Amino acid sequence: MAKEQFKNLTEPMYYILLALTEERHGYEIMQIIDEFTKGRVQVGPGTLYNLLSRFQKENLIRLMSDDGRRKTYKLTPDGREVLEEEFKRLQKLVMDGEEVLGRCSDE
Amino acid sequence: MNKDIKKELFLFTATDYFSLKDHFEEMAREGWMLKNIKFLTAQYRKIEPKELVFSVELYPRTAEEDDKNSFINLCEESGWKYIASSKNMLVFYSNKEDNLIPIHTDEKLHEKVLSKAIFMDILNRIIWPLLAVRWSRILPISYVNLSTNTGIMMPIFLILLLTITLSYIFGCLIWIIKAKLSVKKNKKIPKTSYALARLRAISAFILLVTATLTIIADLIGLKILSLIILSSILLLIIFHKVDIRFKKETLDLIKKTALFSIAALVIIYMMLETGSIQRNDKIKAGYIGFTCRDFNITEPQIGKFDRKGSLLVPKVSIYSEINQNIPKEFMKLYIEYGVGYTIETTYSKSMSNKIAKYIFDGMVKDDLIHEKEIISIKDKLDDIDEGYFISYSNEVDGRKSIIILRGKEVIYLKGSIDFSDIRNLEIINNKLNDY
Repeated sequence: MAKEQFKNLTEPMYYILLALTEERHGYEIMQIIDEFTKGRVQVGPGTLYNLLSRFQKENLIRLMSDDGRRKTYKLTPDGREVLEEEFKRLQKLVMDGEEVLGRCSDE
Repeated sequence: MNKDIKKELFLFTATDYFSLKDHFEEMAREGWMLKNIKFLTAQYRKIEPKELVFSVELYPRTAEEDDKNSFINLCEESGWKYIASSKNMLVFYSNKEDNLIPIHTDEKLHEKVLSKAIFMDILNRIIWPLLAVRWSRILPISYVNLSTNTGIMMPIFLILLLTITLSYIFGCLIWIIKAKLSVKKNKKIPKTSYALARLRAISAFILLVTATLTIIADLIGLKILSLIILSSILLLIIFHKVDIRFKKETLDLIKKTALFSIAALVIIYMMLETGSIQRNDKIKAGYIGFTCRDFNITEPQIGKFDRKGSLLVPKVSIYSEINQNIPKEFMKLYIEYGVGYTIETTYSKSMSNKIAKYIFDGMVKDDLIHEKEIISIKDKLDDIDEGYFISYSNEVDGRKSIIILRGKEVIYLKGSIDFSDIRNLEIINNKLNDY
């Protein structure tokens, strides 16, 4: 069910999951995304918080620690599977693009 | 009055999300910075006019404190300053030049969260008016309800409460549909009107204050109009002029004293009601009540006199006499069923003859359910408009009653005395003529 729901991830979803391949807290996730995308993808704290709750509910991420102020999370095996599937899908998109656009530029 | 502090009535709900954000920004531009949100009021402090960006966040009421704190912490780490909260609403702000990432960057997700919060708010708000309507009859008003201000006001309160709630729910549903359509078309989530939200808040506040005052007026037996004026002045002083600050110890002492007083009052009331404390009340001047002595019954009697009143029926009293030899544990039963030499007079004096007639008809209609025999006694008593003697089909307690309408007055007598007996009717007639 969860995998079906997250078949096509949005950019913020993809980068949040990518950031959580390591244990991280909310603000760290925001910083990593900013760093990865050089400011192209922006995730506000409210949006991040809602997505983290949703991922946790669907068992894509797990709460690792909570000191009352900060919570840290990490990907679960299910989450990793969803992320890898999305990676393959994106890779396929790029390959298809390359095949067509590459051929065009050859001509 | 502190000129550096400004207070506003605050009774806003989930859909007011955007209108509040704009309002706080406008206040900051005018030199008023939100300080805190307390029960029913938002407080502002005077500042140099500033361009600030506010963000009002909805948070589930059921969320644990830790979750809330970690959300506030995340927003603060992102540069937003947490300023105040009210129920499920959290308010953040930042300087405009900081140009921070907005708290919500995904309109679709934001719309879903808002719609869910608003929907939960609708469920939370609809249940009480529905239960109130289920439990109370709005119209026609029962004659019994006319004797208290709460009883009279209840249908008006229910109609107003339903109107406010239904218009709010309708507004919410329209907003949810509009928001979904906007997000679908990649447009911004629609805003709501602050003026409308404020109007709704003020209406709900007036309703709340009037309902409270009506209940207080009934409890302490004061006239509602004078109480409304006095309490309104007091409320104005409390909300706008005086900053009442108690020390924690003083506040604790006030709370404890109030709790003990309420508990003591409840215990005394229950003891009086169950007969554990025997009452020997007398009929107050200006009210009508018949005694066993009037009917030449000389056994020792215990008298119980209660009175109430409302704007429409200023005088209502119930006087009952019970034989003192009756065991305490059966006293309540004796009062209710009128067994033995018990007599009870319910007296009411209304503002007009029409209201008195309404009460009289209601009483007759109620008694006709048990009726065995009903006889008009209009010709047997002097100067009355209408009157009936009723004996009941339940012969076990031999209960009988007499209901009289005389101008603005209604006198209802019940007990084991045979009111159809011409000698007893004469006693009633003589006593009524004396009043």
